[in-house]
Amino acid sequence: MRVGLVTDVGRIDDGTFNQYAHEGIQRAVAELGLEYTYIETRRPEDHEVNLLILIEEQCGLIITVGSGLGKVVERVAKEHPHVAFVTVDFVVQPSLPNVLSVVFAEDQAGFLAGALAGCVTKSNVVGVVAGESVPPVVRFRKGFARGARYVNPKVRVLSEHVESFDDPDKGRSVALSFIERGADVIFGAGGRTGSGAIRAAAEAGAWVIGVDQDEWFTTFAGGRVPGSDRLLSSAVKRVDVAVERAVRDWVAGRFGGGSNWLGSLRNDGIGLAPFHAAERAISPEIRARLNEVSRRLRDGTLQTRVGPAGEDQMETLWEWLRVWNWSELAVLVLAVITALLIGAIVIWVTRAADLRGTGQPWEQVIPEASALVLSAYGGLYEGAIGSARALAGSLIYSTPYIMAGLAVALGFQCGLFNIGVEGQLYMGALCATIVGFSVTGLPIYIHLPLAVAAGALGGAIWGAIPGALKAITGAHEVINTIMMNYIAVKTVDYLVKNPLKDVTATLDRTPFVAESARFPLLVPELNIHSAVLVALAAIGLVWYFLFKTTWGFEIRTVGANPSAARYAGISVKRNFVLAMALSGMLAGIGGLDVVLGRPSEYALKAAFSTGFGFDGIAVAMLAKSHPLGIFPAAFLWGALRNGAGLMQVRAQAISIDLVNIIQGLVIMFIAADQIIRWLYRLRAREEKEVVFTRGWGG
Amino acid sequence: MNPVAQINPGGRKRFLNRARGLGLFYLVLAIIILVWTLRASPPDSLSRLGLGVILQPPPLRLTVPTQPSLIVIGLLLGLTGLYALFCSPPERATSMLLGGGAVLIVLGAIIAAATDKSIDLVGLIKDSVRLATPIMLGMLAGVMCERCAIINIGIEGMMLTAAAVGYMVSLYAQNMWLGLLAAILAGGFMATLHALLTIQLMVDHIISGTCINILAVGVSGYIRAAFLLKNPFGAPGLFPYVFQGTPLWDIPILGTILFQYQPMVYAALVLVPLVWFVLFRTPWGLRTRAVGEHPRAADTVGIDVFKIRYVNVILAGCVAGLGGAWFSLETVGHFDDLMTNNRGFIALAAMIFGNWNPLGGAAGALLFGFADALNFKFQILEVNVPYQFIGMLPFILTMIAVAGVIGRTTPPAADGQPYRKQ
Repeated sequence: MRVGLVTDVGRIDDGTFNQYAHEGIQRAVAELGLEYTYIETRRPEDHEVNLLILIEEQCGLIITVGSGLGKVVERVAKEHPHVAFVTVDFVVQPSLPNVLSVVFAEDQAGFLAGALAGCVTKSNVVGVVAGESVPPVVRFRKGFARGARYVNPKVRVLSEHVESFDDPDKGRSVALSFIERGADVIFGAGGRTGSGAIRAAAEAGAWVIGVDQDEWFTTFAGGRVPGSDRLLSSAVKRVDVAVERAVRDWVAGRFGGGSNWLGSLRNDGIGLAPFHAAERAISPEIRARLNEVSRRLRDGTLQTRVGPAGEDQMETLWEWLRVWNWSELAVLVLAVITALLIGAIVIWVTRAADLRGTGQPWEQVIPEASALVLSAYGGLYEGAIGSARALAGSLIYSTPYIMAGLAVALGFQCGLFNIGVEGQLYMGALCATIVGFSVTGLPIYIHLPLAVAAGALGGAIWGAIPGALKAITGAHEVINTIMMNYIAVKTVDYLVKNPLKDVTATLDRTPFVAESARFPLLVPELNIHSAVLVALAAIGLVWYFLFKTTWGFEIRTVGANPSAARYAGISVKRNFVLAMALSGMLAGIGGLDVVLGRPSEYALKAAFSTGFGFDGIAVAMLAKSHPLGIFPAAFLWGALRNGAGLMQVRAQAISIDLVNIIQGLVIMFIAADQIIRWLYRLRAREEKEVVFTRGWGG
Repeated sequence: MNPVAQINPGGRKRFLNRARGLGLFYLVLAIIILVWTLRASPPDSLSRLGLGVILQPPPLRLTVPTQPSLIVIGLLLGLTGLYALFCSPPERATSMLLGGGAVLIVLGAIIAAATDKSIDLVGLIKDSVRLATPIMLGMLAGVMCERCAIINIGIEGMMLTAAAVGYMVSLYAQNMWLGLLAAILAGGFMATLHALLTIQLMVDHIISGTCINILAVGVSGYIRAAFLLKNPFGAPGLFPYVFQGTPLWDIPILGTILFQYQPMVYAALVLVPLVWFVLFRTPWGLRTRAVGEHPRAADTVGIDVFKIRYVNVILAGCVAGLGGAWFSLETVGHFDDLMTNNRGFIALAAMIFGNWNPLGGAAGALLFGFADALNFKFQILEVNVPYQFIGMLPFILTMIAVAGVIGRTTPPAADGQPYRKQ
């Protein structure tokens, strides 16, 4: 019987997981008297050829290392059902009877390493130099950050993915830049890149932590390399144990094909390596702390909150609140306040310039301009939330913002920038209106849902088109959604002015929708209609969908890291289309809310939207793309718009366009939060994740 | 190492390549034209195409029989399509077929529209160039930004701000040229904001652009309400016609097409080749494109990535400012809310349409300007085509272009990605 090994790109003595797998097999092979062949992969294109060579060589069990090989094994294993395969670091989906997937809870190993770093650091700054952003590495990185923060809330974690496992020089320069920024513990998680990073950092005098195997023996050659005494430990994945076990099981006829084996703390598949020369630096308190963390991770009373694809798991509101970065909230609040302050300055200067122009002395100008600021903002406040009527108005105003904001946020969650909410809104309103006035004689409990369904469908189709174009041709959704906005607006313009025009009306509008297709008024004297409830329900549903269902999970995984999602076997294209369709559906419902809900409408006019789509982008950003943040964000937006009317009445010289300026500034301050942090001396954000888009190329 | 990154949907050999896609498109269009002509076009109608308004009779014009001309055009277009579909012509010939087919389609549309009527062909061309001007200037702004990898969807906002500020200054200073300078500076100012946000603070380019657009609506609307509505002076008027009063103005046909414009048109017509020359024939342009394709490599050979980006983006804003001046100072003579009417986004479409090349983009802008001009003419002639559909044309064409069926568009490789110095 012959066992084969195909390495990930790299050598058999690379000092990380290739070597570990090699050693594990060697142990089993020597003891059981098997034949053993291995191939070192030099280029990723060679993966398949190397596998086929081993099959030719009559290997009965082939072990592959690294997620890069996973997809190739999926294909080859189907064609060679008599050969057994083990994929280390990759889960085959759907499972195949002749493939055993071996994966590790890197997040736990990273968490322990992070806890160690958090205890040891003096500067309260630690760094992770990570390799490619594939799920195992992302789990290491995030686990490390969580662990460090768990034991030491004051700690700042710097991190960067070097998109290669084989670039020690790059790892070195990143590590040194972290040290320059104050880091005194460096965690290297990424093959030779990470090893390069920790060697350089150790030489520079920082504490370092290795990865995958005990780097004391590999990278630091058993203490013969300068800086060896700075190696605290290594976050170890026992690839050798897992592989050895798989070989033994296969020989004994117990090969676990079709299943996954998860190496975690519980089965000693992962852990921390000995401290070696750093022994004396680790005080008994630190050991006790690490033991406690380890015990709690083992028995499950402590969760790393990192999912299989490296995504954040923060499902419940309580957890979300607990781990919520409160300085983020401070930035949001300060962004709004700063925008309002700048608005006040604009009012003051306008008025002052005006009065000075007519030759008034400063002692009159200053109080008068200041009074105008107060009356303008007084009017804004009273018009927005100063009375029951104002509150109700703001609530009604915010309904389409809720839907538009949810639509944009859902896109963001999938890494898509849906600028097309405006067009989807028009299409939703159009379809709902047509059903609303052309169908008659139905009871409200059939007609209204029918109209809503038509609107949702219209929006969904209009959203799915750019999604499908992106999936099929790679065309960037931003271009296509911008273009489709105009196509939708012009289509509605044509229809409302020609075939659908109500000939009895002086305005260009469709006939009024039937009584039975209107959202009933909840509080008739305040015009609060039941579409508000639809919007509130939508918030809950979107939250549930995103955080509690498989589809939602896949969408978020694709959004967080498309290549990681692809490695995990999630169809990125399908999720692009799905997310755009759902986003469009939400937008469509937002449009029909306006038409079927507001007594002032009840019919479709040519230009009925006041830029809800673009405001939706702002709302989603204000809410940080989280469904539960949408309500306060949308309400703020609705209140600003609603209050603008009274502001203009109270302060005659001031145009309602001031609200546009304020809103533009709010988005700017949230997008560039460095400005706010600098203005108010807030601490910098710890890790800047890549935001939403990746250029036109997709 | 990362196989996913190497999957390139454009790199595969596809059945529906550029030539075949084009051929199929023209063939379908030819069939539609032929069927429509035989069924709907009256057999003995005449189309009159005017060649400029000339005061002395007889007016200079071409008269063609409508139905036979349309059939000839349909057949020619069909042949073009068949050739492209089955003879797999080389790349350059495909481009020529694309251009030739477009001319045929435009000609067909005009002849069909002029059934039993008269359309002033020369006037149509003149209007196209005039209406293409803001699109062309916006397109140049887009190309200048994106060639150094800064996505700019804030062109609309830059033009709108420039239109408002330019008009305000020309009103208060009672000097058009100071107004023009102010418009250029206002565009440049908004672009500086975009540059700061995207280059320095590494804000997502599309978010920054959206932010510029919303701010521009607010700022320009506020300026109008606070400073323009109660202006103490008379309106400053419009830019003069450059060649009025010279003999060039009166040349028949050519004079109308070439010499009867105001300054912004000539600014655009000069800037298009200039930007092309700078981008593709000078060291500065080479550096700009290097920064757009591979900023890290550019940095390694000593190019100052930040400086290149700042200069390009701010200059692009100034060019967009010229486009803004076209609205308030050259065409309308006052400032209206939202007067740029989405030309900034159409400019973006023209840029993509021209594959990020100023010359191609100018062709796209002219095409979209022609659609605008045709739109006005059709409304005047009461041609039975809803103007909304002609207005949609640029957007649909752009979607087709982006989808890559008729020629794939390729943006600069690093477009939209932030750059961090090491």
